[in-house]
Amino acid sequence: MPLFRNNNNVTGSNSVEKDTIGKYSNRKYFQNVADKLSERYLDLDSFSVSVSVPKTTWHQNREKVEARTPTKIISMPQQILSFPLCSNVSDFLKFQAIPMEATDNLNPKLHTKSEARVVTLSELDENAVDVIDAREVFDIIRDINDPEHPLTLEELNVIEEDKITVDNVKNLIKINFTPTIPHCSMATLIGLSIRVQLMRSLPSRFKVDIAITPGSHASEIAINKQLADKERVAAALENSHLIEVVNQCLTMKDY
Amino acid sequence: MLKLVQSVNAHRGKGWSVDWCPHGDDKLASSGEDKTACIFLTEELKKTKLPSEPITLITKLGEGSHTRSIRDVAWSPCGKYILLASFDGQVTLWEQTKSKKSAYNCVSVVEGHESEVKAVSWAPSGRYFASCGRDKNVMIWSLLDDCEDVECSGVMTVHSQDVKRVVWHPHTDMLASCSYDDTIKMYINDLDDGDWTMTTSLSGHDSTVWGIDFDSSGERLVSCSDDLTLKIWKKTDVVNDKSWSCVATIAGHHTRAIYDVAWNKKNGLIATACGDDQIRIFREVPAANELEKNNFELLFTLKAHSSDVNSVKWHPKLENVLASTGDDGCVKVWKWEDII
Repeated sequence: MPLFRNNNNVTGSNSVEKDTIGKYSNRKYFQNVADKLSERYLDLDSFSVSVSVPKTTWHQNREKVEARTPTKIISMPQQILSFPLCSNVSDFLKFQAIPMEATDNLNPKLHTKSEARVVTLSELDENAVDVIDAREVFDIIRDINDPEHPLTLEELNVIEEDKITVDNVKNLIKINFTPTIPHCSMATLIGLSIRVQLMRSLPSRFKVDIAITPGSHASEIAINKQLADKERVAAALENSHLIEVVNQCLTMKDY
Repeated sequence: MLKLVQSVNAHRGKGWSVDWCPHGDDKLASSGEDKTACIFLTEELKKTKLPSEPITLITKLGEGSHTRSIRDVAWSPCGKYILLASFDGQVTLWEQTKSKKSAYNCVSVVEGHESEVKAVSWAPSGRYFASCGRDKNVMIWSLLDDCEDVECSGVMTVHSQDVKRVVWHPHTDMLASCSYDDTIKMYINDLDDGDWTMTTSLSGHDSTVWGIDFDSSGERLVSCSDDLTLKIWKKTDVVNDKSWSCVATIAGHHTRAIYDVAWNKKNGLIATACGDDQIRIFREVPAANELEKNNFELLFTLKAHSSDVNSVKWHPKLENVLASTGDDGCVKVWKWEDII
């Protein structure tokens, strides 16, 4: 007996690569599935659930994201709600087997991306001094990928432009980032990726303070202390495995 | 007034630590992120009329033997041996070759730490050296038979977080260590057992204690911390070393974490290396009576490096010579001249 019945005969490709289970790295697949699922309902055998799936956010022109509103839920394990449909049961069962630790936050809230920066006349002038401001720092770090989801930190609202302060005179930059959930285990890694990205992009005169937005994480004091300790950060960055993970977060994905 | 004598681009990447050779030839060693330690000859600093470039690079150690940054250097009291502590968990001991004074051979590799070694320090008696690291251990090693063999004399795991620096008392075989857990702990060798034990733990700082140094008598200790203050601790119980208490806190001068502090054994000046690129010099205000002691005033501040200053050390013999290094990889030697 199939565990679920799909009224819509979404075939979608069966091609979720085995090694990407839980990693969501095959964006084209999702684009296809999400297109077909918009406004459609998912009927499960013993459950009756209607879920409105948001329009895809992975389009080139980012459209506004509709909030996900489950209308009626009867003890639905979270995994089923968020995994895409499979056209056969065995693939679905593979999804089921993923332990909760693989991703902390299976349903991250998504946010729109900011508009492109408006180019003013003074910025086009070759001779004018181009001060580094919050928007520029934001542009440097907005595209850092989240370690768990195929989304950037900006899209997850981990980084916001108004939480960045830049003081050009004192050469001080303060950044507050907000992990998506209060027990996010990736918070230190996200902080480290921000630090590395800025280290590689900004002039060395800047002192950068990176901290978790107060009140948004259970162990924010401990994590802030670690991120502020430059000796620990330098030693961590000499660890080749860790630097590989950080580099993965920092590379731009091709779409 | 701190005058720059010479600046050398010693390291690619950060320079982590400097150390002056205590006796014998005047040498300066520095260690850096590029996995090497540089040794400079600084004999010409003794001259009253300094030549334009008194410091020359003799040799670079550690190339090929350490796989990660070298965090700390320490000369032996006799000046013939040098220790390097590295983030790869090893401490290496190098000996000056008898034939060629400017060459060094690695005599032994001391392994024992489970993760990065943060500091290494040689006791003034020459009998022991200590190392500490991120594994929360402070390890004391003793040297047997002309430094041929290194034996572990004690391992203390009393800190709850990684240990940043170990410093020996200038006269006795007492060790002090400071840590990420905001405390400073002291250890002595209990001669009956031969075991090292912790005698006292000093807390008072609100954040990581980065560096400590004793004054010339060994009665007082200065500590610098990530909480932007310096604290002066004094031994209150003269009979034994067990009680120390904080007698002064110097706050309001530093704007970023203070990475190193050095107390000049000759003239009592305190130099600090701060994350805001400045070196500051403090002096004790001469006290009229017992109540007014332990007041320190800021004498001078200077933007020393183009980035964070990681280490400052006073010259052990020449009264007013200071060496510093920082994140810009430069090793700079300064001369302090009293304003008045």
